[in-house]
Amino acid sequence: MSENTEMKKFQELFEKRDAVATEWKRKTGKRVVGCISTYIPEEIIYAAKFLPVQIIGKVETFARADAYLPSFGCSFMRGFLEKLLEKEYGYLDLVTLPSLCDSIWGFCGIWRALEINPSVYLLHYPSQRSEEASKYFTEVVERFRSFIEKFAGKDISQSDLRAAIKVYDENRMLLKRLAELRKRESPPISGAEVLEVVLSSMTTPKDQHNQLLEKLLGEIEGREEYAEGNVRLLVSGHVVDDPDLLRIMESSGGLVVSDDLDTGSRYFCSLIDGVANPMESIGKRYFDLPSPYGSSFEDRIKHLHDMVKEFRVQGIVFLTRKFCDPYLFDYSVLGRALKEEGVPSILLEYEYPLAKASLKTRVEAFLEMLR
Amino acid sequence: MSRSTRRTLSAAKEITDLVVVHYMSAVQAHSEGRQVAWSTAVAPPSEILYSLGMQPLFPENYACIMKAQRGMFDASEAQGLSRDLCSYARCVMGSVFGCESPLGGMEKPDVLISTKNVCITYLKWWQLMADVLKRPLYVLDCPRIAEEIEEFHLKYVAQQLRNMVLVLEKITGRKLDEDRLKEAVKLSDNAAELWRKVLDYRRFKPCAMGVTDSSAAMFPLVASAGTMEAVQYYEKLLSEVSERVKDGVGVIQDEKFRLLLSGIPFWHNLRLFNYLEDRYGAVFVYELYTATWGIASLDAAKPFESLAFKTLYNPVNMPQPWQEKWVVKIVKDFNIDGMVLLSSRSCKATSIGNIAIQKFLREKYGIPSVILEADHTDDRAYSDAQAKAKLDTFMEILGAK
Repeated sequence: MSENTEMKKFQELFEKRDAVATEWKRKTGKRVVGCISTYIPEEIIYAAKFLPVQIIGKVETFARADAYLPSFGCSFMRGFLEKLLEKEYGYLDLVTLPSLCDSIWGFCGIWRALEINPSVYLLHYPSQRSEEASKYFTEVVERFRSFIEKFAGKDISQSDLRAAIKVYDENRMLLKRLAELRKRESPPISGAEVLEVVLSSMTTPKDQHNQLLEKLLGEIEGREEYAEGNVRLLVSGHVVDDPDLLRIMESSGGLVVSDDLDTGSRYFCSLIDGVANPMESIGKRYFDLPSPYGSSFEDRIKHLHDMVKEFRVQGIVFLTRKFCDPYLFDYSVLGRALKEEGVPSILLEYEYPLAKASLKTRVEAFLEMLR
Repeated sequence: MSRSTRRTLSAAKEITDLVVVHYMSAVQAHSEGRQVAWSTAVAPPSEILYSLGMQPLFPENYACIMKAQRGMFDASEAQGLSRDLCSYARCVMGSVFGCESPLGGMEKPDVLISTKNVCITYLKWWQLMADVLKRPLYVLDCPRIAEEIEEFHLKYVAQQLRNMVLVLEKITGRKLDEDRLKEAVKLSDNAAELWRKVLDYRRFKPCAMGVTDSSAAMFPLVASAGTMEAVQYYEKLLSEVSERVKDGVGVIQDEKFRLLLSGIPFWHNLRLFNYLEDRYGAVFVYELYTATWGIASLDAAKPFESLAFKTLYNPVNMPQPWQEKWVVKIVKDFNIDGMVLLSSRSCKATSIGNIAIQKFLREKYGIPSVILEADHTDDRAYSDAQAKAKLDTFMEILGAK
């Protein structure tokens, strides 16, 4: 797959994401807004003509962050703090976070106390699925819009919002088309590559990314090239920001054909559609995301179950950073429920720097069991 | 100094019996056709539950009284719960999964209520219990306060409380009497105010109530907010504490250092606090944890809005600038010499900020502190010698010989 020329562009965009954003900023004179996780309605930021970029938490050391956050804090937020303190995210003008977990809240407190830029904006993500919560979230999103307008110094028009939705939905449809190529018996693209494309989408202006995606699809949709592995896997977890994690699986004979990741299907699985009332439609899309923060166990199990059927999945890898409470709780229920339905799974916890050898050993043992 | 000089409050001694009565009252509720709810413990809507004739139980409290029952953790881990997850949850889940438990286990609930105002574990743990026990769950969603509590937040939580009443009315088959609710809110407010007065008396030297008593005496405010029993308990406690202050009697007489405690006490080893008292004459005169339950004033005329306020207004849910101001004021008001920050690996909500807090307190205000690392319930990795060595060093810094 590596000789795939279009694919290389995405890999490069992701690897050079800091330079890409910095260059964009220099050229446009506009601001860059960091987003934590897939629960921030990026469309609103995009509609204000800013560049939303998803935060990547991967680091090799926590030397600076350790002075503020303990080792049992989630390493995504520790990694982000490390990069902020190292000024690697010097181009961010604002950081927006959803109130998902205690590590995010802890980070907010520390960052507030440090009183350095960029400032952070916390967006409440409801833990309840009711009409009341949905209405509240719509208002939360409205307030977010007002905040961004104030930050921009000008209003966001309805037509700007509609245009942003259009670009974002298009990106989602293209990503979905790409990801679903893996429904084939012999997919022309691997799971690690799909992840690279999604990651690059998260850090590149969407209109530019859409053009590249069209080209990539044009090149590979008709092809019958085989991805390496043959044991069909689904990966479930949160932000997987290192494609090596999937490469470990795919170089051991696995093939990641589907996912339930923030850096995967959760980013593109549902469209905003409905342009009649853009704000309400935006709120609804994010409110309905399948996740451990709002969904019931039944809904999460059904969601995984459906993907297992659709993509003919043989086994599930629950992939989570260590100390991630919501996903660890969910694993204890989801893993058991799917096992009862005859779908085996393993829990792979990781930290950066990756202990690749031991991760590989565990994956190999799992794959052996599935063959 | 010998142990015999420590004076335990007689009101604190009563708690052991009150705890048993509390758990038995759930059994009694069922025998009388009343329903039992398992609720989260920080600002629970007990006032509503009691007004509906329901009996709340608090799994977190149950974990405290179980102390470190290692079999519980093993059972939970065997069911796929990671050892890094909240030890309250792992401890109680052992019992929920069927391990033999103190007091015969908690009386099974008819409904579970999670007020999500402290941590993500409140949501996930309650979902898990509801799933295992096959009982309905009501989640009271609670926004983090990034700046200050606004009408926007209060309206949302109050509306959810009203919706919760509708759900509970169906489960109990009874209608909520709003006058009864107002009375419960009034009683809850009275109890909280009495508790604040008790804590305030600890400004005086020698401090009349130590951390062990305080950690016990907070129980009625957790379990019985909204009842006359709680008010009566705190009246008694207040009179005992004020008597002591009048007579100049402290938990220990020779008080040399005044300390502030942050975090959840290590329930498996409260004796560690005695060590500080016995060896150094160092007394905890305030705990952020025990203060949490009395912090909100309620207006009985507006019961739902008041309970919404109580839900939102707890220190973990408040923004960093509020927390900083709060701590610094306590240090000043209570004449604090140093702070002990308890860090529990399995409780991010109360522990994740400790390293930063320590740094900021030292650099901005010159307040010395020490971080003690241990789990709040799971004692399997606890080393008493290490904890004491760390405290010894800290006391040396504070100037103890």
